[in-house]
Amino acid sequence: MARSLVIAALLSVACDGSIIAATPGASAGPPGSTPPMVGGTGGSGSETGSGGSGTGGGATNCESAVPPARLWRLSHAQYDLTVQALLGTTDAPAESFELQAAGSGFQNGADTSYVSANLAQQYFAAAEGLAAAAMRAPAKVLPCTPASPADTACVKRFIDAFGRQVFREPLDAARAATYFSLYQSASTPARGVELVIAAMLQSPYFLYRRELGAPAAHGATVPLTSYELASALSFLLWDQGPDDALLDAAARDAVPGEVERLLADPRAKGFAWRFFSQDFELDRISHLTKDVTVFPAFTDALQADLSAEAEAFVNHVTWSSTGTLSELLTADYSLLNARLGALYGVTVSGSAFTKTALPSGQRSGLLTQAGLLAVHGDDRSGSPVQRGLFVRSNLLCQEMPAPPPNVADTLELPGAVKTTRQRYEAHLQNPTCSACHKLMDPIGFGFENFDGIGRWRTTENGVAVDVRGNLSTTKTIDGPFTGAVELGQRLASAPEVSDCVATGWFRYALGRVETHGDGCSLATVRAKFKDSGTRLSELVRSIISTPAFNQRVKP
Amino acid sequence: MISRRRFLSMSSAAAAFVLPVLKSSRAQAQTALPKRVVFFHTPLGTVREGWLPTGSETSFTLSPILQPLAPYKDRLLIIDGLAFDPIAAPSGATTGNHKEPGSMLTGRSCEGRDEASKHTNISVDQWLKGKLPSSVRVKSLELITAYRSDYSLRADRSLFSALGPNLPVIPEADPQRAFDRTFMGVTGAGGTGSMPDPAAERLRLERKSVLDTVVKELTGLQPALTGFERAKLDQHLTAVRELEQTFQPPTSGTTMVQAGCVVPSRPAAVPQYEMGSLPARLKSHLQLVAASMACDLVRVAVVGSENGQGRASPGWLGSGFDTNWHDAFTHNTTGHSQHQAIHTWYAQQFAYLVGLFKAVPEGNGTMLDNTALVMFSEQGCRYSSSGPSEHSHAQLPYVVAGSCGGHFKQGRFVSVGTKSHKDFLFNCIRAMGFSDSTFGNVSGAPLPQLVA
Repeated sequence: MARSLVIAALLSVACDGSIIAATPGASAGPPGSTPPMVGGTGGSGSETGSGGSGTGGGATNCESAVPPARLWRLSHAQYDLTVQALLGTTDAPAESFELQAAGSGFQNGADTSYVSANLAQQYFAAAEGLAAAAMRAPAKVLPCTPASPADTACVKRFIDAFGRQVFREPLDAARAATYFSLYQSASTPARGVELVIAAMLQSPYFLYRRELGAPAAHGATVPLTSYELASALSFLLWDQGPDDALLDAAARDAVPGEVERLLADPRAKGFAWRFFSQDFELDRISHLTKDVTVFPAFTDALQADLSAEAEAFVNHVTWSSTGTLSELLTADYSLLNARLGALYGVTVSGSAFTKTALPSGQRSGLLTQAGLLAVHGDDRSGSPVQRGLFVRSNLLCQEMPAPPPNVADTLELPGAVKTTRQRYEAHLQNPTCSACHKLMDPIGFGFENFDGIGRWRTTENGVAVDVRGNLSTTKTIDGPFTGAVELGQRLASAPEVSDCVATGWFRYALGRVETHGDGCSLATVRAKFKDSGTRLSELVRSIISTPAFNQRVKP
Repeated sequence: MISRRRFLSMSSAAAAFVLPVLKSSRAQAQTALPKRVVFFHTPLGTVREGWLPTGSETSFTLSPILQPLAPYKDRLLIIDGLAFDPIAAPSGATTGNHKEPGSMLTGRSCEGRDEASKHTNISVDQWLKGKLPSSVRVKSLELITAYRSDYSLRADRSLFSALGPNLPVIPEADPQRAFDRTFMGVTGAGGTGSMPDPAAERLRLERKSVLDTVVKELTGLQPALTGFERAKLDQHLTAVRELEQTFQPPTSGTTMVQAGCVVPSRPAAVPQYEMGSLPARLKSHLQLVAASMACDLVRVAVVGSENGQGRASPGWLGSGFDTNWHDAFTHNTTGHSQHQAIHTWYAQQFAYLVGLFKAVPEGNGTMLDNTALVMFSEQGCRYSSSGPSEHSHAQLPYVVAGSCGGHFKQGRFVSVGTKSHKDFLFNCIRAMGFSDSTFGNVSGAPLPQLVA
């Protein structure tokens, strides 16, 4: 998702080149409401990551404060996948729901997702439609066929069993009775069942993931209940609600034993793609607009292929190779079909995406896939600023300030000079601009072998491209480099890059920006990710073991 | 998949019982005509020399950009000098670039780092919405011409409206969906208003039972939550209760319409990502605003156009414009004339809106008399003379058409010196008939220079 300026930011970069520790939590809490759980003093938790012992509580100089109980509304994607699993339908009504608040930089952040009047109406219409459709094949949801309104046993079984699936935990007797009286209010048994389904699909117990813990005194720290933990895990790994086996495990308080099964399940296939498609903004590939007079090759079909390539590649690395961030950033292959083979300069036949070696020395994993390069570009050309900003903010977790108000932001139009680099070098001549742009553009210049839609080039307008770049103001990888492959290797080797991706994933998994109180949790996650050789599955395992994920403080 | 069409056929089931436009207070009392405000946004700041009128407050010449509004010159209040005021920023927040849209109607800067920054106050449109009587069924429209997945709208701070801190209101981009939401089950002049048939009545009662169950679930969960989490659930409850209201039976035997109410036909579909679809989407939005206000279904509307970093390609203006506007015409020294052409086009669209309001008879005049149509931009003037382009927070361009029941001066060009843009929001509050000196957590007073 678009977090180009946002997200990563445990650190801010001042434009004099110094790195300043930002204050995690500054934007985490809703203004005017309960303040985020930030301790009074102490350094930012972010700075403890590299030295974390991996034991969380043992890490020094970090804070550990458990976050408050909350509700988290299902994302639209989660809604669709979950109703499909519940009802055996292929309907995807949430595709036409109102758009989602962005919150923490990822879609559907916990802080800003709520149910507006508009969305309530859409939930209503969807629930009616889904319930009506379900009643065309009632055997899928009904354990029995109610013979008459008097056949209460069957209906009560249905309410208990279906309700447990919809609400992701058993209903208590009072709530079951509420649904039973709704059933009784209908004119026929079938209509009664339909109304019950429609109401359940609008219940807050369905629409929100509950992270409340068992009843306890105000201020008490409690673990998520087994059912809540089951939901938290299945939504993180599968993007949908728990299956029966997981709910059964919750009933036995045996959810932690299910983690490996969940990770191995086909429903987990997209867990890494769901993160990277938002984090690297790859979900924008399919509806980018480019100037067609400059890039006639950038057709809808090509965009669809580039999007599919990115997804197939992430899934391949995750499931058929090392499963590491390092490989995602450095692979010298991709998954291509014939049309993309032509774009990348290799021969591939057919429309299926197959693993294909790329021309030697040209590409470096996701960083240099044409889709990502097109996303971080302008309408008519590639953009060293956007590409450099992407590396700076999304891989180094350094926030660049927005351009100040009332500053001239002029830039020569393409055509005035020969190469994109020359055009952007104007930034660096102007002291007002260069203060900040020297932190972005010199990284972006390393991508000058790629045009605005990611095609390889060695010249631009007849002039040889200059791909010398420079990294500065990093912790460990400062210095000049030449071209994107060297840049990719440098980044993949850097602990601060693995820390940054760990931080992004932490935010994605929790639906919020970290606070000071997450310091120890985050330090542990970063250390474990690094120690595992940047294995993504290990990153997820470590996140779900933190108090930030599995404990809450009672309101 | 359940297609949108299928949902609509379900909606038309909802319309099986015809819900006439309910009689508003004005039908009984001609003196109490409804007042309305529409915020019409034009993106990326304007070209100062092309925008600023010349002359005095009462005797002035319209600038080239505002020429399309010449037929309505005597109905305009052109305001120069409003600015983002640093005092609009909460302590510790910066009034950084790109936070402007979410600050425009809240009167207060968004807080937090750039794209993660969030609203810090209720927006004035939502505040006004909350003050409207329940007889105004839909109350507000929040419309936008770009889709959220477009670059600019992915951050919450790019959205104009909010229910409060951290609660952005997601605007509707799709004309058909906006129409369905507004006019579902409504008939205008000539509507039958007949009593519903038994099947429709049964459906109504069943739906009420379903929503009653949902309300019970929501209230059952309330005690487990406090603070912001509780507020979110309360908002959900309000939304469900509003939905229940739309399923209330019509008053028996009455056919009531506003004099100027004509229920329009459903708008044509507009392609979502196609470059060049923006004019059709905007026109449809403006028609919906006028029609819904003429039927007194809505009294407050915000029409946003692709926001500060909008990437629409205004190819409809001719060759040379078929590229994304932000990149091509703002961050350079040579986009001056194109930028002016785009803003002239927006003024044409605003003139179209003014015309729609002036065409609806109301009281002894037209609907424009009782409305403030506000054209504004989230940035100041983008270019000055031949100087460079700027991300300016000063000299925000505002034009008000209509006096909103006599509040705003008409036929004037007023320079207010330098005043905070939030003060103008209090003019809107006053114009709508409320004497409050705060909305949400922002205090202020209307600018007397603007008051007739």
